[in-house]
Amino acid sequence: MIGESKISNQKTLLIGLLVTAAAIVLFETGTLRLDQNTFQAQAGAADIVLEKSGERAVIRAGSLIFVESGAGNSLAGNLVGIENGVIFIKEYKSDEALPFAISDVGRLVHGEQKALGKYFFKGLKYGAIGGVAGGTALWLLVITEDNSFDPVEAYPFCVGFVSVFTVPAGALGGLIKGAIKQGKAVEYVIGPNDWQIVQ
Amino acid sequence: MSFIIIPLLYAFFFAFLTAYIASKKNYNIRSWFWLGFLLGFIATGILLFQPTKTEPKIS
Repeated sequence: MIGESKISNQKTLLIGLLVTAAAIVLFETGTLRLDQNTFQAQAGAADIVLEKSGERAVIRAGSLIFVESGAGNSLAGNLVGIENGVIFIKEYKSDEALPFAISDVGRLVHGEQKALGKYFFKGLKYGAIGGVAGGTALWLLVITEDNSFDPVEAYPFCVGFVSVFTVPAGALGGLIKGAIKQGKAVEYVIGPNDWQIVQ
Repeated sequence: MSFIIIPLLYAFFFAFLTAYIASKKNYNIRSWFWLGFLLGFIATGILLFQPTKTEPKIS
């Protein structure tokens, strides 16, 4: 009787463990999202067109942008569009598009400026997820092939062993990606002799 | 919303994991469930290094 109750308890715990693990994987990989306010460019929103002595640059609606006025006021986020001399940008943490007058723009950066830290931690996270997934696979392999291991005690060792490789690899990959993204950020200085926003 | 849900999921994950190991090692499941919930992987780590208790004999 006691044995049956114990097995039933273990089954419940194992189901709970698997359900929470699955939920964590779904949330962390972005498959499942709670906040559905992901940015989408408005239909018909205009891109920003810049010109400097015949050279032309286009910043598409929806791309990451940072604008700064001569006085030092700044706004960063996704470009919604440009309309009647006003640039609309959706900040990362707010839902509404904020206006920024074109006449005030002193500097405009297209791309990600602080990408290094962001992608490093992202890489670290993916490395950890890979460690848990790979470790679980290794654990399954070990316990089915060899009966001499205690499954419970073997699990953390398997996850730890795989994580030793995946976590630094993920962090390194994130650093490289961040450096590339950061290097791709283009700065436009707005002024009469520099870049001018023509549309 | 996600800033509450994800830590809660992690807390429940470690709670279930710790409770499962506790049941395998014949420790009090409920106590270790809450220890796992509150302390996370620390409780799991502590429990992994505990010796397995022998089950009481039923006459």
